[in-house]
Amino acid sequence: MLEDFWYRREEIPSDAAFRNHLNNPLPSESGGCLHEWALAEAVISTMLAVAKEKGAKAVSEAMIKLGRLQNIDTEIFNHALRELAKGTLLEKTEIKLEMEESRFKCRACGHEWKLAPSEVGSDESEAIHFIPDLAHAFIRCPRCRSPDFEITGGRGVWVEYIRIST
Amino acid sequence: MGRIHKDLNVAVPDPRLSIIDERLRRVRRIIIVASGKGGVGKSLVATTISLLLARSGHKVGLLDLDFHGPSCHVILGETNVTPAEERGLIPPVVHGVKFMSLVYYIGARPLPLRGDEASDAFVELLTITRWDQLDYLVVDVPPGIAEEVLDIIRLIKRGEFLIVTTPSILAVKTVARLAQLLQELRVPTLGVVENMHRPDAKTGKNQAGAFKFNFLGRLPFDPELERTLGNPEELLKTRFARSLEGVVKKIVGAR
Ligand SMILES: Nc1ncnc2c1ncn2[C@@H]1O[C@H](COP(=O)(O)OP(=O)(O)O)[C@@H](O)[C@H]1O
Ligand SMILES: [Mg+2]
Ligand SMILES: [Zn+2]
Repeated sequence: MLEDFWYRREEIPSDAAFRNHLNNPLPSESGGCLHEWALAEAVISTMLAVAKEKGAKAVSEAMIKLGRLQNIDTEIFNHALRELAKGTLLEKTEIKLEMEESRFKCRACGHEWKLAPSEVGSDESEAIHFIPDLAHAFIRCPRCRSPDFEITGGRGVWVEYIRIST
Repeated sequence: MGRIHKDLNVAVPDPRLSIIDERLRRVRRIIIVASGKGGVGKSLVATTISLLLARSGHKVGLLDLDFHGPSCHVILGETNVTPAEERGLIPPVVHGVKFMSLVYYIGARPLPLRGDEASDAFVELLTITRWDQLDYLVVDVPPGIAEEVLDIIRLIKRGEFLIVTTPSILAVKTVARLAQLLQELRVPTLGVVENMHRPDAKTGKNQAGAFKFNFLGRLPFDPELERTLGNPEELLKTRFARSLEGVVKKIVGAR
C-alpha cells in the first residue's frame, strides 16, 4: 500500500549533501526537543489572547485538534502545553486533544483517499511533520498519480473551542 | 455564571499567526529582496547581501521563500547541514549565515503547490523557524506579486523591500507594477538595484532610475559569476559582489 503513493528511498532525487541528513538519525530519534513546543507555544498564546479579549476569569476546558499529517507526538505536545500553561489562566484548564485523520482529494480525477497513521513513519513523513504542504513533494494520487490534490483533513493544529467563565 | 464558547473556530484564530511576531521579535531588520520579474538576479543579490553583511560582522539570516525554484543553496554551495530541532527548527549556519530553505526537506523534488498551499507553507515555515537574535534577515522572494509578496506584506509588517530589476524594458515594466503596489500599500521600501548592467548594451533610455524609490546602485553583468556559484569565497571576489558592497553600505546606513 505504502508504495502506492510514497516514493521509495532509492527513487528520491538527491540534491547532494543537502539531503544527507536524512541518512542520519532523525532529530526526533536522537532525542532532541521537538517542534511540538513551537506549536504548543502558538496554541497557548492564542488561547490566552482570546480568553483575555473575552474577559475570561477562568478557562475550564479547551479542545485542541491535531492533524494526523502533522505527526505530532501527543505526549510531548501535552507536556509542552502543561509547562507553558503554568502561571497563566490556563494552568487548571482541562485540555483535550483530538486527532483528525489525514484525507486527500485529487483535483485531477476526484479520487479521495486516506493515509493511515501506520503508513507514516519515513523520512518523508518527517518533512510533512514540519510542513504538511510538503506532501505535494512526496505523495501522489493512488489512482492517477497526480500531485494536484487537496489535503482535506489532517493538516494543522487548531483550537476547536475554549470554555470560559466571565 | 458560565458562558459557553463552542464553535470557536471563528473566535480562536489560527494559532500559528500569534507566534510569527514572536519568532521575529529579536530580528532587528528584515530585508525583502523582490522584483516581480524572474531571472533578474534576486537570489544572487539576496544571497550575496547576506554573505557581505555576515562578513562585516553582523548576525545574518537568509530565508529562501522560492518554494518552486529554491536557489540560495546552490549559490551557497552544498553543505552537509540540517536544521536542529529544538522547540522549532534552528537554521544551520552556512558560510556565516543562518540559512533556512525547504530544500533541506524536499531535496531536488518538484513541489507543485497551489496558491493557498504555498501561503500555508510560508506561515508554517515562519511559525517553526527560530531565528533568535539577528541583525538582518534577508528574504529571497519568488517572482510575481502573488502569495509570497502579499503574505510578506500581511505577516512581516516591518519588512523593507529591496527591488531588483535589470536595465531591460521587459524587466522594468513588470518591476514597475510591484513598485506601484508597494507604494499604494505604503510598504517600507529601501529602493531599487539595477542588476546585469552592461555599458556596451544599447538599452535605450535607462529606466531603472525612473522609479520613485531611491536608486541604490548598479551591478555589472559579470561573466565570471557563473563559475563562482557554490563557492561563496570566490563569489565575494567578483565585480558583482564588490559593486553590491556599495548597496549594502546604503542598506546599513538607512537606519
Ligand atoms: N550581474 C550578473 N551577471 C551575470 N549573471 C548574473 C548576474 N546576476 C544574475 N546572473 C545570473 O542570472 C541568472 C538568474 O539569477 P537569479 O539570481 O537566479 O535570478 P532570480 O532569483 O531573480 O530568478 C542566474 O544564472 C545568475 O547566475
Ligand atoms: Mg530566485
Ligand atoms: Zn487522481
